[in-house]
Amino acid sequence: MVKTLAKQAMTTKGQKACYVIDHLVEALGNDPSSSLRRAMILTDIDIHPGSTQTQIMDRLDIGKSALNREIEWLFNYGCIITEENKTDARSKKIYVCGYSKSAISNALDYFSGQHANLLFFLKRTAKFLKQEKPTLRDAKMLYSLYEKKDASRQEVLDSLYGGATSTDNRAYKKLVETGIIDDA
Amino acid sequence: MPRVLNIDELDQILTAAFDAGAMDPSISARIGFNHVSGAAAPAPATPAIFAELTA
Repeated sequence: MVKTLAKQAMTTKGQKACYVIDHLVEALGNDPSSSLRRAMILTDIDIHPGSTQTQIMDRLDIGKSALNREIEWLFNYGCIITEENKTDARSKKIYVCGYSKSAISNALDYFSGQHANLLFFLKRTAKFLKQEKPTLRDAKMLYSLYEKKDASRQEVLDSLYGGATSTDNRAYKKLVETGIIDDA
Repeated sequence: MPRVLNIDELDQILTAAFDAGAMDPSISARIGFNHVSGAAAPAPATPAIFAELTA
């Protein structure tokens, strides 16, 4: 409780957004290339533990094959576990587990524990980024620049996760090309 | 120096996400989160930014 209040009180909106993205990267195997959609799926499963893929598909309006791929990724990275569904042998119940569970919980501290606000944040950020499959890396660049206001390109790139420079530069360039960032 | 275009919209998103407190139950239901069990919770004022989600 104290930790939650401290997180809420001691940070600006831009800082909070950056920290939330950091926690989500942690929740998703420390992979900043993870899409915001993947983060939404993990959040949705955390809201509805024991969900089946069909239920997730219906709630998030994601196609079957796309969701299959994401679920497989989440399972392979140890973010989720599955359990037999006693009422329907064709489906499995899915739960968030381990490091993903604790990282999501840390992200939720910035939203007073409200999953709905976290989902809103993810959905609106994805829409704002205007890309087919915006990533957590894109979101981190956006919110770093929002927070720092007059940061240089290098400072924005330095706020990322130490991945390949070419990947970070490509992502930055795309934000400029899509009109999210002005770098005139 | 780079800058975020349409920063006002981003500001609204963050204000709604972080400062609006508990989300309107109708929005929560729409995005698949039912945090209301039993009696209906009182509906808080809905910030304008949520309008398109409820449309």
